[in-house]
Amino acid sequence: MKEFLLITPEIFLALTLAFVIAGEITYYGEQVRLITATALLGLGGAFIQTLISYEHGAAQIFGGALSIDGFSLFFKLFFIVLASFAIATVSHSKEIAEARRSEYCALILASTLAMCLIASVADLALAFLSLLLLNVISHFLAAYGKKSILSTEAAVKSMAFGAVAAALFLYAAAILFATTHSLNIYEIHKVLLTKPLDPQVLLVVFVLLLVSLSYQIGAFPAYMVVPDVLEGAPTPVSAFLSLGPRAAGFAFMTRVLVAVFTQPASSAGHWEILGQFDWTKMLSVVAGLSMGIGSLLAFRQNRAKRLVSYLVVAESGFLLIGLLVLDEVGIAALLYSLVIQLFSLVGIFYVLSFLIDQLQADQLDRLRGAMRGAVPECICLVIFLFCLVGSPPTPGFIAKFSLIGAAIRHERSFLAIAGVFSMVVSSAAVARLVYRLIGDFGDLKEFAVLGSRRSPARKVLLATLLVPMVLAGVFAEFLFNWAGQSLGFIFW
Amino acid sequence: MSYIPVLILMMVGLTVGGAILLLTTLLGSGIQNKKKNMPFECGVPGYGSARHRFSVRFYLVAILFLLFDVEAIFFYPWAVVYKKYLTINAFILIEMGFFALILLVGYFYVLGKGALEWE
Repeated sequence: MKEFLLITPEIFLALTLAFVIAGEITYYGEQVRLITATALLGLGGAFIQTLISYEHGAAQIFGGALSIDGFSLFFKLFFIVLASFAIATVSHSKEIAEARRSEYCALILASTLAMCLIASVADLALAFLSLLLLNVISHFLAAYGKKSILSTEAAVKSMAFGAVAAALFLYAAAILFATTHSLNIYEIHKVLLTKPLDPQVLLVVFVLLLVSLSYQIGAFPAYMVVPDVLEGAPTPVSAFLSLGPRAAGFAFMTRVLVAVFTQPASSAGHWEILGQFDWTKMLSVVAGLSMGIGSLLAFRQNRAKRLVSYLVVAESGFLLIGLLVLDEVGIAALLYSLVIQLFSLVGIFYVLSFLIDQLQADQLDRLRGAMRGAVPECICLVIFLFCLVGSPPTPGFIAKFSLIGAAIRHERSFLAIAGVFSMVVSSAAVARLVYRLIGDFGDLKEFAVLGSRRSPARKVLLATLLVPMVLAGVFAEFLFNWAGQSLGFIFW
Repeated sequence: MSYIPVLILMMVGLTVGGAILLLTTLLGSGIQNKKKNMPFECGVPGYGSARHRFSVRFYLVAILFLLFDVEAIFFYPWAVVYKKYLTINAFILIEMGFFALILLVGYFYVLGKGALEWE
């Protein structure tokens, strides 16, 4: 019975999903808004349940398949907040028809459930099932723009990559199971301590895991699908897809890599690699390439959504730095960066969705002078963009500083240089977009005024994104301490 | 050694089928005409192109069958251990009840959305 107490957030989400599905087939017309309200209430309940779960303490449940600890609870709160924003922002978007919003709520809730499972999973078979559930729903969500050919293309591309990634993950899991006769990652670690794998076998397993999870996190080598998916999907969906599956991928990658392929080092709060194959070097090459490719290609883009999606690839590279240093401070920096990205990316895509609805295009040329007609929205967009790339004095700078600091502390100077270079080029890419928004310093009188309808709901939503982001910067130390306390997922 | 009859069966099958095809090619007349080369439709003359799009209802029925068939597959191992676990308490029955209930919700969703309508 205690096991079911520990998964009450997931049970809450499943019940909310059932009610949303039941509501979808019974409610018509005006009552459809009840469904969105039900979904948001259910997510609020799940959020409170997750906060209550902090009292229970860490535990492995269902025969070791799930590991409920501070790490998984941190990510559950993250995913529930993301889902709430995804459902709240869709009512202001014209890209998703009102008739399809209830199904959209159901899909978001189902993928949140999958992501919460991924954050706590400790069994490779359950990990595969949850990853597949999340990815299949992501394909559906990417195809949600029914009349848009780009949307269908995005879904087919993500499906093709997702299928290959799933197959490679299974191959790695099969090799690990064959050598250690266990699917539980903690049991696998115990076996590997006494009977380590050959360096060649470890290389194969690691490369398979890396390529498979690189699709999930949107880093090199599977970064190519990210811009197509995020550009083709409807903009509220892009906000969700740019954060949810990525954060779930990072949660799973951190848990698997640190729990299976590392051992405690001589100093507290540090880990070192297990076995003779130094996989952190491979990860640092991947991180450096992701940062460089993402920021350089972002600079070359002429469409706002595609520009932001390449920035997302660069951000994934940055987050990998926090993981590969194998340090409590580094992983805490990774978690803090994810929180900052939650608010900044949702905010960016929300304002872009408003601009696309008004202008029917997101090319930089069409966005010229947009700030004239939508001053508060565009100012928020500028703040969110500079926070994403890590310009001071935004909270994003604290995140980038801690990540690059972690690289320097562990003497990975090339990675630090690549990080700074990526920050500069990303800032230049964002500056291109901002330059267009303010109208190229030209005569603003000739530019069109955007949607003069005042919308207090939009301003409230923007404030709900901006204020927590600023507070996350002001109370950065508190967040870092909380992230550091969430790292008790190693059950050695 | 005990699988020799299977090999003999395969050989006989290949020989008979191959012989029939070979004999019809050698002994049959070589005259071709349009009516003889048309695909056989039980005597009904064919019309139109064979390249029409299939209705999506076939796909829906196939996918829904797949999902509920997988549910039925999950019932099999449960049925094997059911009697043994029922002696402890009724948990095993309630657990499977929840599983079936979740899928029942999905079934009512499909019903309500009209995915099972054929017209």
